[in-house]
Amino acid sequence: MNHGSIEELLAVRVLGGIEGADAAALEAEMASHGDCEECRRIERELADTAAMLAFSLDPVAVDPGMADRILSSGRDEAVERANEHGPAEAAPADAAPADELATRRSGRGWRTFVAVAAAIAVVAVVATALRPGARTTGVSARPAQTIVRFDGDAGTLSMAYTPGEPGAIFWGSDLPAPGADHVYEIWMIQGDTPVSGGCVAPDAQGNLAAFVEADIGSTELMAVTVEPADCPGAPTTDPVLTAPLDVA
Amino acid sequence: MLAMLEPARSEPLGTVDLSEARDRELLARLQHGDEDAFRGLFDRYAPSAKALALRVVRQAHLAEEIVQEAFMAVWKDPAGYDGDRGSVRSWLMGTVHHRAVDLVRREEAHRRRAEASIPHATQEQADHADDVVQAIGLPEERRAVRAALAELPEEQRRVLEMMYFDGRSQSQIAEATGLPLGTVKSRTLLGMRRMRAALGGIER
Repeated sequence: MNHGSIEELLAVRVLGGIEGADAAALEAEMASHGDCEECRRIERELADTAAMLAFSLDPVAVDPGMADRILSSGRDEAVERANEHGPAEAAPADAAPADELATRRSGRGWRTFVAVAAAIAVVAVVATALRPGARTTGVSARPAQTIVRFDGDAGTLSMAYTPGEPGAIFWGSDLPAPGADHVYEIWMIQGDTPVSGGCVAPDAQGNLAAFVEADIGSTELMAVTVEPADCPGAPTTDPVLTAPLDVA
Repeated sequence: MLAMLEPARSEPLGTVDLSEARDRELLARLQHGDEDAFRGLFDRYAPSAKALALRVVRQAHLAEEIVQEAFMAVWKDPAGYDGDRGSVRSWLMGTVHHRAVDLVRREEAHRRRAEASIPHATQEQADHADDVVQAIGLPEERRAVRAALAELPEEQRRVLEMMYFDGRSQSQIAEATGLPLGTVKSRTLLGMRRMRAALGGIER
């Protein structure tokens, strides 16, 4: 069975219509493909397409008490699970040696960095705007939807935000553990002033997903530092990740 | 020096990209037992989930049960989500749809009775018209999906709707339409391909 045949049966399966021999044949064939990225891609795309069909329907209100009932009945399991995973923003207990980031913790160059990086950000925006045919890179064609990737050598980190509205979503991977009793702190550099956007910690695999109720406002530069877990109000180390923003 | 002058790489981000990023963040918090995260997902998707369940089972109390069971499963086992297999929303809707179809199949006799009294079933939905939450959900996506469905050739749309919304199996559709089973499957695939092409980056 080639991928075309698999796709045909997967299309039926994601819509709930597969049965009997076809279901078994599909399972067997996909198993024989082993770790098949193409199979996963096909399945993922078909599943997402099928799910979209549900959104053609007008939503219908649910019993207002349903969420409470679900939460209360499953609370014990949730508490147990939370204990297994630890606090959402606590540094992982099995953190990697902190010295991989130690060289960036002196903080001696922070003020210099802010001044230089902010200047670079402004110059970069101006240079971009002046470049013939250049796309405005900090603000998308639809200003309400912008994604920015951070630069640095501490894994990958991206931020999505809506200019003019509070709140930003951060997600990252391969982020080194910040060390025991340490977290990553997100900073918005506004003028010469770093404003804390909150503290976050990646999971044991270095993945991070966080929604920060921060007002990006007139921020010219985003920065991430490694800080003590008490999340100080001013940076004490040099940034490990930065992302200049276009200022409208 | 030029590299230093290069500003942050940015690119347009679709509405649903943001939605998916938010969904995954909520799901990550769910792992830690965050009740607000659960409410976030629930408020966002439960009304559409109920619409889907109601469309398949055609009985409001059963649809309500299905949604409750599905979200209970999400609350108790958020680790059941596999990002390799689709978006958070497709996982949630797939869970609801699977339960609804399973119920329909298990209670085939009830199903036939419901089909025999379509006006009754329709009336039941109409009775809940007051509950329709026009303001909730994803109107932009809804318009896009409806438009994509409307653009499908009739024979493909019919097969997709019978399978997904009516919960009929491939052989049931073949029997009802008089089409060869192979034609049902090929029309399903063609319809899904067209939907995907039409929806482009919207689906996630």
